[in-house]
Amino acid sequence: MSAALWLRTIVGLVALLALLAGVTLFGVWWERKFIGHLQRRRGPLHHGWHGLLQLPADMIKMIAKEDTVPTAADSLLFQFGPVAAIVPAYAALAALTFAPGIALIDMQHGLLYVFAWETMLPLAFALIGWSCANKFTLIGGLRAAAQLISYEIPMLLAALGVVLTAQSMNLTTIINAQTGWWYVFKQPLGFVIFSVAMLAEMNRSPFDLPEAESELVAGYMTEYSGMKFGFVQLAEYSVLLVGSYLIAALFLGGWNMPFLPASWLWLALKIVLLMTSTMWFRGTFPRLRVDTLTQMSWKWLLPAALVNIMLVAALALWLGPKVY
Amino acid sequence: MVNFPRSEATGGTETLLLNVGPQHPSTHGVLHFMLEMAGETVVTAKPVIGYLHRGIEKLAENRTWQQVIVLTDRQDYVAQFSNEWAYCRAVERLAGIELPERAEWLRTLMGELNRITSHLIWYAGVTMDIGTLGTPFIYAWETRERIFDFFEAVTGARMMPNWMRIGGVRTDIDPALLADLRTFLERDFPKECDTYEALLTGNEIVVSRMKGVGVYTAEECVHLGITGPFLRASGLARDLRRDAPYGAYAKLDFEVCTDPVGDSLARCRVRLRELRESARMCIQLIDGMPEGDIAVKVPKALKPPAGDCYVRTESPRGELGVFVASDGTTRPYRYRVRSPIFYGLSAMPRLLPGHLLADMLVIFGGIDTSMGEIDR
Amino acid sequence: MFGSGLAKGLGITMRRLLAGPVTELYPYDHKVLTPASRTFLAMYVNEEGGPACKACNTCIVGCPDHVLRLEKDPDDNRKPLEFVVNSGRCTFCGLCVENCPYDALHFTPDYERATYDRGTLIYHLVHEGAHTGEGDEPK
Repeated sequence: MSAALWLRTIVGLVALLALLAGVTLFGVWWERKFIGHLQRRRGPLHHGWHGLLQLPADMIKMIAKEDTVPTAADSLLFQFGPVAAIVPAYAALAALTFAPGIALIDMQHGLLYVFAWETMLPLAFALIGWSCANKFTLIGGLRAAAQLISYEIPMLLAALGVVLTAQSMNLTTIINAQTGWWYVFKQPLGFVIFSVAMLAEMNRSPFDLPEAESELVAGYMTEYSGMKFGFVQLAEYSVLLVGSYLIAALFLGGWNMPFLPASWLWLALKIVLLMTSTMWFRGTFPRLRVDTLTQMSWKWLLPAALVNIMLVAALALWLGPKVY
Repeated sequence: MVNFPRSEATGGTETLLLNVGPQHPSTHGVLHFMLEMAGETVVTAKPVIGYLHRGIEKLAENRTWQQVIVLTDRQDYVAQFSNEWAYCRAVERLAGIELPERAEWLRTLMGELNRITSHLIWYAGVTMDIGTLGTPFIYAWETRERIFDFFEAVTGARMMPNWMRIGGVRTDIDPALLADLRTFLERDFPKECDTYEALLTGNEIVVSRMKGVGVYTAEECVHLGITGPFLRASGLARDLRRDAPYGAYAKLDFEVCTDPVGDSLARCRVRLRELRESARMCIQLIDGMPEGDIAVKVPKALKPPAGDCYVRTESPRGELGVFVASDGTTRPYRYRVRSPIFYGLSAMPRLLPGHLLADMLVIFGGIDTSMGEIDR
Repeated sequence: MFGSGLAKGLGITMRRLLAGPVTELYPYDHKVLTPASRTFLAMYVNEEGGPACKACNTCIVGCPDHVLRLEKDPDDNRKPLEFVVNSGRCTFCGLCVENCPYDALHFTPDYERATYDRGTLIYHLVHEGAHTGEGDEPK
């Protein structure tokens, strides 16, 4: 590889790490604030402007905390768990295109790459749940595996509809195909299925079963403290970011905005709005039961996704790729 | 490593012994559940109580009759007035004390307001258990705070009022405060109730989780001695406020809320309707409040004649019975409480098996336990 | 229709968000307690400026938690030499104030006395003129 490529890769990786950390910090702060106000509280107030410095302070606390390993835990797997969670979450960011030409790698099959990494996460969560030798984490980890795997199939099928219409797996091409009508108007069913499945992939309420705090204390991350907990949190927020990005890019036009010039700002705005709405759901809805959850995926979303893909294919054949 | 017992119920595979509590986010106090689980399904459930035992019944034997009222507040810290009231009624019956009319009405008003705050705590707890992030919890807390402000203005404390006295009540209620409370109960409270219903029984996710979960028939309830909203949700209209009226209940117009279904959702519906019903009763009580004394003169060193008596009241959780025995001295010889929800908790080993772990919280949260009352 | 309840719930939470927070900013806003509030004990002063207590022991007999301690003046049976309140044991039931036949005790409106040292919770209401606090005018 040439020196320029090396430099570009390293700068890009650091930028992505900064983005991930920034999104996590902003996300946690915004979540505390937003849900606080939903509950007619004020949220963090004291450190910095409206508590903005609370999160950096929390991070310092996490780094400084003692690194505890439960005696009964499988030490190696326990240490490896957060790495297994953070690596796919971080790697998935590489293919995201944030503006025309702004991506670490604008991959030909970027969408496939992102999904491939995202599907590694249930493995990490199940690993974490198993390694802690704690029954709550075990149940949480297995729930995470069951939930994420069930919802991946309708999610991928719904995304396939978009790929079929855009005739590409490249994220830039998909977004550029939406300069006119966004895919949310062309494939409303696909949008609903993808959003619901993505919400489940993000482990957000009403699908937050793996970390159901009223049932499983903190689910699979019960035993983690300090920076290990921080890494798992980072992975969670990365999924939130990637999920919001994918909904925005595949269905909401990415950086396109009707009657206005395309800009990365629109994409950022859409991502923030989508993240906020997941917080809004989290603040309002109770969580589903585990059997209802999987039934919903296999009995409703999967058939609906199949219908959706057939519908999209038929329309694409009938109207032709230029119109549809 | 942990040894898992083998169970015939799962076809000989290992079951999982899960200790939920005593320190767990949703055991409302310090209850310990020993759950034998096959995957996520409960095979056997065993509640372990006693972590909050403070020996209140024994402590009462070393205190004067008046001092016990301080303990009754702490017995069930969610329904303080109901406990005070039950105790005071028992002692008054033992000592043959007749109460002025106004004292009875004031007590009834506070008892009903207390029913509202207690049901609000149940609401807050059950919504947390089914997994909302505390938003309905805080909304219930808002209303509860509003009523607690009233409690504080009248009795001087929010949680531990120590307000009822043998022979009456300690302080009178200012008419301006009553007028404020009436406006609140008439104008704002029904809207709040609409909100609570929309966020709980009106929510499809909640309905999907609660419908048909933890069904218990009226007959089974009666066998275990379960009373209160738990029993009424199974279709049996039994309410001591109507069946054996005390206080000012005989002069009030109210409905006993029942539901024929007997599942967790029915228990929610009954309690939510009781909220409105209690508010309606409070308005009647404020409107019809008679003038007069708030207490009769009772000697400081009260010595009820030797003997015993048992008094039943309808606390927010059901039939709260108080047994007091006197040997003619200034201290009770025996003080015993029939805690209503202890009987509800004893239904858990029958209710939980076959349900999922998530259902356990719905069932357990839905019966409105208060560990302070169970353990005493 | 399925989902109408969910939408209604979202509407409720959003309306509450827009209505603004209801919490009090505690360290900055101090809640004024109602006159009836039961907080820390204080003693009224009599016309001569001494303690209003007549050392009759009624409060001590009535206290369920053995919070109070009284030392009588050896020269004057109706004058307290020391009146000690161990607030760390107190449950703020108010029986002492209620029982006092001379209305010598009352509650202060002050509630911020959290401390790291249990010893500072022991108040000497008569000793060293410590009985003078807020609202200690003669009754």
